Amino acid sequence: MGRYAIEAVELHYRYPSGYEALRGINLAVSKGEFVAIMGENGSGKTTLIKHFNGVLKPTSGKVLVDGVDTRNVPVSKLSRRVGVVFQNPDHQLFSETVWDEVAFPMRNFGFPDDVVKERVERYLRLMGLYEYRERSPYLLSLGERKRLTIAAVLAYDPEIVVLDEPTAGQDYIQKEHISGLMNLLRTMEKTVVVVTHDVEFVVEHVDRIILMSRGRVVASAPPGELLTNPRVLASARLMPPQLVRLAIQLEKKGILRLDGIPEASQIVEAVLKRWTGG
Amino acid sequence: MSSPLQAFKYVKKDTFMDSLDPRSKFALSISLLLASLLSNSVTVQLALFATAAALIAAAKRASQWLPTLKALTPLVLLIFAANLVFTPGMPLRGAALMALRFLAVTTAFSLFFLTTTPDDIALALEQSGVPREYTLMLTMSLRFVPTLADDVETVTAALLSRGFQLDRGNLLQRARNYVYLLVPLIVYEVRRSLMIAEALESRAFGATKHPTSLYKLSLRPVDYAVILVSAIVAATPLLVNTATPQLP
Repeated sequence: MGRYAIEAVELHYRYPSGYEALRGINLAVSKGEFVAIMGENGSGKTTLIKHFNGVLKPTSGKVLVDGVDTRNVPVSKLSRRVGVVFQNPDHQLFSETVWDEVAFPMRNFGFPDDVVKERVERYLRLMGLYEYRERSPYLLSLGERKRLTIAAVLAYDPEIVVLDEPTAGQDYIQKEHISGLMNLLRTMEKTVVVVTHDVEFVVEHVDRIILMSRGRVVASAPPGELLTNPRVLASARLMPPQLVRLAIQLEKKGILRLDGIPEASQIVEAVLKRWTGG
Repeated sequence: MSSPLQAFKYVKKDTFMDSLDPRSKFALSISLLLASLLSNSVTVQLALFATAAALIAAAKRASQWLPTLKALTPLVLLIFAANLVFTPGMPLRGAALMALRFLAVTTAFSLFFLTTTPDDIALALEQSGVPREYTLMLTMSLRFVPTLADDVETVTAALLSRGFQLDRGNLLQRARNYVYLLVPLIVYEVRRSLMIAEALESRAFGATKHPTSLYKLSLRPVDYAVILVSAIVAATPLLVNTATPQLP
């Protein structure tokens, strides 16, 4: 048993084309922690998470999953502990029906039939897809296909869940679905790693943000600390959330003192206070 | 793109070969092909291979071509071995001839694709009267080879991440396993092609039978010189004793 759920030590990865996507990553994700990996496009986020279940092996350095070096374990074994939902659902639908799609990994891992049946039903209902169980996955909408790929991973109950851009292309209702799911994962004491550009989603759900730029980790801090630091965010070509930007301007005018990510009501209150001379 | 195909992928460089018109480069590669097919001399095959290789080196693409040459070695050895067994008469000479011919032809076409952009190939075909529908089909096919390779990699990663082992079972079972790889790939590529078709139509593709082109290719004196040399190279085997019109 390792100290951390995931640990990367001096991780370097170079693609066969010669491009070095990861240049000395050091990070540790504790058990039960919710972490977001953020950064500009091409910063190495997806390459990094592909190391967590061993799909990619380090060129140098190492990745430990619960203390186990990923270089020494096949992907089929690591995947049982680390469930990865990739960004594009169309790259990860393999079965003829929605039901079979959720059952697919469980059958690969050798789950008994009654467990498969119970879990498929539970997770299809949870994701609002049960009524489509006899349909082809390819006939679902993009949002539904995305939720189906999440259901397929959650159903086999991995200890660590890695989600690549779970809210990309999702409308408000579907984002709420995924938010509910994050809350559920927290009650299940899962370790969760999310790759995302969605600042609001991060503020609501994660304990810590790991900020990446050009294959390196440039910062690691709680959202309240990191998202209120425009200088650090700019190094990864990110902008603070709108509320933070507004609060920074108000702080410059002496109207508000920036202390973490403000609530809209705090800003309104501070402005009204100044307006009325209170 | 994986290294065995690197010798057929254009990378921008500024050399004499790059400055040539695609039609003259094509004439050069075709002449090397014809000379190779028409000649039964091992020496000529060696000379053709050496010429194409020298031109690749002059075009500063040796580092791209060598990995492909290395990857082709088992195939070259296979051709040599098969001809050694099945060629009647002088098996050693026949085997060497076929292996070298394969190398010469591959290198000649590698020279063309290494130094010519897919857009230039399309432009050259268009200016030769080929309709734009077909030239676009060609450039799109070339353009999407690396994208398709990326898709294969992503789907494989997703399959492995669901605990699926592609190399599980006997030979028949392994072949069946690849259906799981093919289904999402086919669906995704069909979807992608439909999206591309819609994007093309929304940009008025096909609105006119003879669309204008921003760039025009024009043959310079040096291109005519290359075409002339190419014609001589292609004709030479017919004129010397070593040549025979029949293929072995």
